[in-house]
Amino acid sequence: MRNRVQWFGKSMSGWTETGSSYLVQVTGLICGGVLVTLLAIYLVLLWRNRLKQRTLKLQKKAFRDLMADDSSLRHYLAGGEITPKLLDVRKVQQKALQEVLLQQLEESTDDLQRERIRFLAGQAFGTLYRTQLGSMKWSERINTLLYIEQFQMTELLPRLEEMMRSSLCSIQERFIILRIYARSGYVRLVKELLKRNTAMSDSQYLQIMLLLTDEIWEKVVDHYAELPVQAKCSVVDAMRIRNVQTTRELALLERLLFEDHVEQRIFSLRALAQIGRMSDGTKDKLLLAWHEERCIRSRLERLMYARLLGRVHTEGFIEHLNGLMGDPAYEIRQEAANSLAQYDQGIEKLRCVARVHPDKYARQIAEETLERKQYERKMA
Amino acid sequence: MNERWLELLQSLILLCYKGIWIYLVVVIIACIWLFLAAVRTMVRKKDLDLLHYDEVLNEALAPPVSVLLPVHNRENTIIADVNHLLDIHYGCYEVIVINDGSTDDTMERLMEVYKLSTVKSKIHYSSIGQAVGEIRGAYRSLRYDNLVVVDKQHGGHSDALNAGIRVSQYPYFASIGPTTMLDKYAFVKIMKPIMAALPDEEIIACGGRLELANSQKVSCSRFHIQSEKPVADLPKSPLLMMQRIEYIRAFLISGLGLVRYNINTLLFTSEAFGLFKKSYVMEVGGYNPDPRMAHLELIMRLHKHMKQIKGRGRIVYIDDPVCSTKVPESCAGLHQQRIRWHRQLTNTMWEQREMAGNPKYGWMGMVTIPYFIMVELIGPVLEIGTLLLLFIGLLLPFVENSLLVVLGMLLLLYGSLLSAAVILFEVWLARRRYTAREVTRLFLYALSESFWFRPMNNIFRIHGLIKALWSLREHGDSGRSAYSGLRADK
Repeated sequence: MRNRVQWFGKSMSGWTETGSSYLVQVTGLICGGVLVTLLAIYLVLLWRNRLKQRTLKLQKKAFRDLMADDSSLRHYLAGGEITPKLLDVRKVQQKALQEVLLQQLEESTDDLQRERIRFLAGQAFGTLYRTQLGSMKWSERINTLLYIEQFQMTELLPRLEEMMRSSLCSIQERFIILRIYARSGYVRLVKELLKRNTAMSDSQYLQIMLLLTDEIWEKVVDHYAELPVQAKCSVVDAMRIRNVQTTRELALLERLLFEDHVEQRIFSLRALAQIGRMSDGTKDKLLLAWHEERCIRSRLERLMYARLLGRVHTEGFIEHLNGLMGDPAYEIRQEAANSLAQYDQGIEKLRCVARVHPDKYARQIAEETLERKQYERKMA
Repeated sequence: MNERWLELLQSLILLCYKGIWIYLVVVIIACIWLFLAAVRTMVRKKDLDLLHYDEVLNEALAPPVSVLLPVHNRENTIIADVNHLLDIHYGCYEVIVINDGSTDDTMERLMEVYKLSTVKSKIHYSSIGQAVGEIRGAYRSLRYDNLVVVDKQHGGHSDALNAGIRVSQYPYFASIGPTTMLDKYAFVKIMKPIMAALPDEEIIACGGRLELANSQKVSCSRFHIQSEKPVADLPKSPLLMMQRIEYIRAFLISGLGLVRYNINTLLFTSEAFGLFKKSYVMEVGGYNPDPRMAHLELIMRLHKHMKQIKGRGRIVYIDDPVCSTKVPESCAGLHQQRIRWHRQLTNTMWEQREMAGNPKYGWMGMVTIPYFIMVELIGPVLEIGTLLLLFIGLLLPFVENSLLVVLGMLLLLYGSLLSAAVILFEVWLARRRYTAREVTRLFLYALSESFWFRPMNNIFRIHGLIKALWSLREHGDSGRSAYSGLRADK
């Protein structure tokens, strides 16, 4: 019994006559093609695995030779004399040499030895890296940049500048190049940081700021006002982490406490809380400003303010801390209580708050902090 | 029965064949497309040196994370698990162990080994807008200042996680599944996209590749030459091998494939490990404590929330292995697991049904959820249906054998051939070393998938689907409203 059905708009006998046999052919061809391709890939993979095993064996041998006590590398690291044998190596050995040098660089604490490692890397890989920077493979370019950064190959800086101008340069590559600039104190970096359209995360900006050499750092602080806001916040955050103590930078931080831009205010509060120093004039000005506007400040700003008051002590701040211990946000109450505990007779003051503060939450947080302090004493 | 009815019946049966044919073609195209998208991502990053993670090792830069470990009756393994977490390589993190009403000596073991000291007043409680099981006590360790233990009434995994979120103090938290072993560098890897997020984007959740813990250790070493590439160490059991293949396939197609185009379409489902931005999870009310819901439900609510607030938050997935988890080693265990997964998937899709096909939710509503429904939810029914149609077709004189051959080949292409392709790609790309024997084993097992594992797995999942539909029919929305009530309490 055959039924007439519509198949893709055509009238056919049964499921096909022509239609399904055509489908069988096409599907068969696809499946067969896929299967044959997979088998071919499988064979290629087996062959490639064998090759890789052999290469790895050679690399291991080269690695062991380089790490041996009487190897030319050991002699070089001890005496500083490069033998041609070290530089005249094949690709397999080059990979091993690179790995040995990276490992030595990571483990070595001796400045002279690190300098020698970098010099050797420059001699051995300079040309190779220059070529690899032009590779069409993104991962190869990124790896090369990471190695250049590790070995601090300053001779490649002009090539990196050229690379950054290329349209091929991705956001990640650009960031690593800027990091290399920062590490090597390349002045060009300041110009790059001043650009408004730099696509970088806050964390990436901060990484760069933390790597800056003293000379470039000075220049960046000089140009602070011209930096984009994101970079400005990173500079202030870097001041916190670098724990700057110079008058010029402290003055900048104190000035930022009264900026219109909230984020900069928050970062400067946080930085000063970390540094723990502030001029008396600024303390008074800050008290006045916060006395009037405490309630309208953002949660994060209040939090940082509470932290700052614990690090920079003055009698006038205690009243503010008592007020902040009744803040609607838990973290702020906690921070204020911690800050109060850092004052002379802080524990006594907390006990007093726990007893007599009119706000229930302030009393609770004081009790909680007293208990935590007890725990911290037990830990110590 | 007259001839007219017979004709109608025949037409109906033939329509089923057509429908199945169209379904298979569509899902094959979708899966191949997603696979190719994942291939592009992976190929780009192939051979990337692990040096690129170094920036995350800087303590001053890496955001602090709270690690939540819910435990229930784990007295034998708890100390090893907590020690493993305390040994993680990351700048600043706290470990919060939530004892979810254990009836064995789990709590006593914790007290004894870590010298727990009671926190009499309450420790930091963030409100997540829903009630959690009663917290009996909170403790801090006198040996490790980053270890907190919360002892609570039994309320299930999600409820325990909610309690952990409330107690946590850092802006990000990571949830750990009951059988998860984290890679020592898991946080270094998973925090990388968060640290690299540009000013116009924000990462609100991040998942990573999951490996099988039954046979191998996840490891990562930068210096491969001297330390030897980690070996693949494949399991002996066929069931474990097939699950390994299944995980790799799911990781590439449903994980990486969906994040390729930066269109925020990821629905990563693993309860084994996930990292979240706490503030957003709190805004959506935390985990749904209903044990019938999958973790996926939280992800769906986060997506929904982002659309509602017009946020720029994204959920991402990373291609490096971050943890390993134990999988069932017996058919019975697998059966139970798949029933549970499928029930959770069904209930979750039902709970968030308004998102399906809703243009208001963009790519998520129009692409990902329909894809999940078609491939993950009702896929098993359609695949088993295809097999049945194949066998029935042999008995029906009006169905051409050639059509049956076409359907059979499509099933093979969708199951075995796609898995084999995925496996070969994995071997080509892997950071770990595969021997020729292992490659051959993986390849052959992948080719055998359509003939035993896939049908078996699909039958288990259909069982889960039936149970879920049955319970939905029985309870209707009553179960949901009970939990909604609990959530609305606060």
